[in-house]
Amino acid sequence: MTINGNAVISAIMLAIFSAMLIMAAGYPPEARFMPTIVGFAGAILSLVQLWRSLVSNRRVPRTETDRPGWHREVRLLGWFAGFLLAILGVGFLIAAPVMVVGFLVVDQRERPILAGALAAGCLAVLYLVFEVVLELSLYRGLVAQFL
Amino acid sequence: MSIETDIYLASLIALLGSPMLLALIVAAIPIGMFFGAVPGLGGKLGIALLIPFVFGMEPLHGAVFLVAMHAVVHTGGSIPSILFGIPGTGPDAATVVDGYPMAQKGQAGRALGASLGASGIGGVIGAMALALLLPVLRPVVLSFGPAEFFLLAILGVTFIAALSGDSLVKGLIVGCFGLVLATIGMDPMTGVARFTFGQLFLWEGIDVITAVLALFAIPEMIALGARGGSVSAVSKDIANYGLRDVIEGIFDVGRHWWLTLRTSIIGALVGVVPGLGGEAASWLCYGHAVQSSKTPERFGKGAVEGVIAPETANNSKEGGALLPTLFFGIPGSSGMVLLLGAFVTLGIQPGPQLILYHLDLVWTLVWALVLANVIAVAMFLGIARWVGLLVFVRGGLLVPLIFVFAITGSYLSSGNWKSLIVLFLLGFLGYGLKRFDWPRPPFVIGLVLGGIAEESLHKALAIWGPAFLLRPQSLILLSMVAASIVFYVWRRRTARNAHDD
Repeated sequence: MTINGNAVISAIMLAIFSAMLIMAAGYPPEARFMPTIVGFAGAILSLVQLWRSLVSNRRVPRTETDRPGWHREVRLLGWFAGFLLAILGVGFLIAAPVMVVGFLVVDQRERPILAGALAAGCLAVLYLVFEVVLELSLYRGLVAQFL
Repeated sequence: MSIETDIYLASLIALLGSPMLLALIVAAIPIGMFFGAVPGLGGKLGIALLIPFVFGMEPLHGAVFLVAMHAVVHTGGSIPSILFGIPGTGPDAATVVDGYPMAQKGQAGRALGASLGASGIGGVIGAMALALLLPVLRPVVLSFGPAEFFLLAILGVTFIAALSGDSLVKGLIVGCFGLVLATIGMDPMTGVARFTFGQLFLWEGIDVITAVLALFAIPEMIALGARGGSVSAVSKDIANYGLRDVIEGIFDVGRHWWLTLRTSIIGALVGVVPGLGGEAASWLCYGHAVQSSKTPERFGKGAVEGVIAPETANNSKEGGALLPTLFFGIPGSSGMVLLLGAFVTLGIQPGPQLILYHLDLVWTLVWALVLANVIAVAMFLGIARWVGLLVFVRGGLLVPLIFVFAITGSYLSSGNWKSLIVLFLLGFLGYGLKRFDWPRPPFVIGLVLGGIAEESLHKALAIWGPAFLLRPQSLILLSMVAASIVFYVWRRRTARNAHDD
């Protein structure tokens, strides 16, 4: 599969600027002034970049998905989403050490003892630095909220 | 004694007399060195990740901690440059040219000592340059009105867009994206909630820290994790050196004191120019060292001056770069972009208010820069034999920890779990930007300065109408915007010609 990454990013930016321009049209004149100026400039520049990306891609075909590490990066993005979901679900103090161990053992093939030690260190920093020293309450998760 | 003399002496005494501030500086130094020494991390990521740890601190304490950490990143960055020929951070690349050959000749300790001494002295001179320029800049800053602050924001975005990547158009798009995201939330003029989709947590706008973590920490970690491993494939034998060698290197800085002084000043001046960045400072000073040497043929083969020149510049430019960051809100380097965001989060609003009402804070930051550089030298000497081992830390071990602390930072800065959704969406976009070589610093500067730009624009239009663009200072700033674009075009053309040749 061939993906022109620059064109995709340009298209995403164009879509964001266009959507903001359309939404801004419904605001009072003073409120829409800045978003309209910047959104318009951004949309024009995105169009220019999109055109340049498509033209340069036609001249020199690039296969972004064939670059080494592509699949690995997508997998790491998945892990990041997993960390977020786990923390949203059960909160920092449970999710963080569990996910650290999970990532290190499953993804990185580290020894469980090393993974456990790092997870314990992570939990200690979270609890001692944020909860005890800085007296900041960490999120306990949606499950705890429902219970 | 003048009031200003009182303030800078009082700030120094207050800093030295505060065990908390001193402890924060001492704690920040090894962290900064760690982020510099482990290839792939760097100072920007360091600031992004340390922001959660300064929540709840006094603004001054948090700012001192972050400035001290950032001040010594390049001191740590020289370690892998010299020992393994792998720059810890971008600006350390110039150190590789002579540092690595020195290590291969068995002079690793001497090269590290020269780098350490040069970094320390460069950092101190850079801070002094900032201090000397303060009285000169004061009237300039105070003469600025809303028209100038609007144009400064535009100048900041253009500067960073032109200098932080290989495409001005991409940089400007990302800068506009930051500016337009800054309009999310309650409009200060009309009270209308803009682009909030009925979500209360968006009424205060996009959280700067969440955006910074999403665009910098997350993509960097994904790249680091995907790359895997460490530089441990390189022999550890080269990291064997003694304290005596390191001290010998420090003496080399004294032997080349004139070069050290010159490159420190050049570095500080380059730092003052917004957006030029560390790479420009270090390569410019390296070039100067070669040109001014009586034996230029030694360079590239292990000349100690080739280590001293870029290292003094790397650290001295941080003092210079603080100047536009603090007083104009225009970051002097890409690292300062994040520092600016952190300052705003801590409640320190850059601009003329700092000169008028918080000069003590500015002076404390100057002294913190000086102290951090001096203490870093002493600390490095104490752990010199083991510090080289930092570069063997495996990236994969850091990835989950940094994921956790990035998410923690986002949650703590906004106080709302829904900001984690913003973190994911912007993180995904940030990954795309990094993957396809789109510059990310213009986004942060747009987001941070967007609010000031909008407010200033409305004020300027209310006072002068569109004619505010024709005021003398406005014309100067507009010509600087044009100059940054012309400089970009010239740089591209020169690079293309060099490539063709």
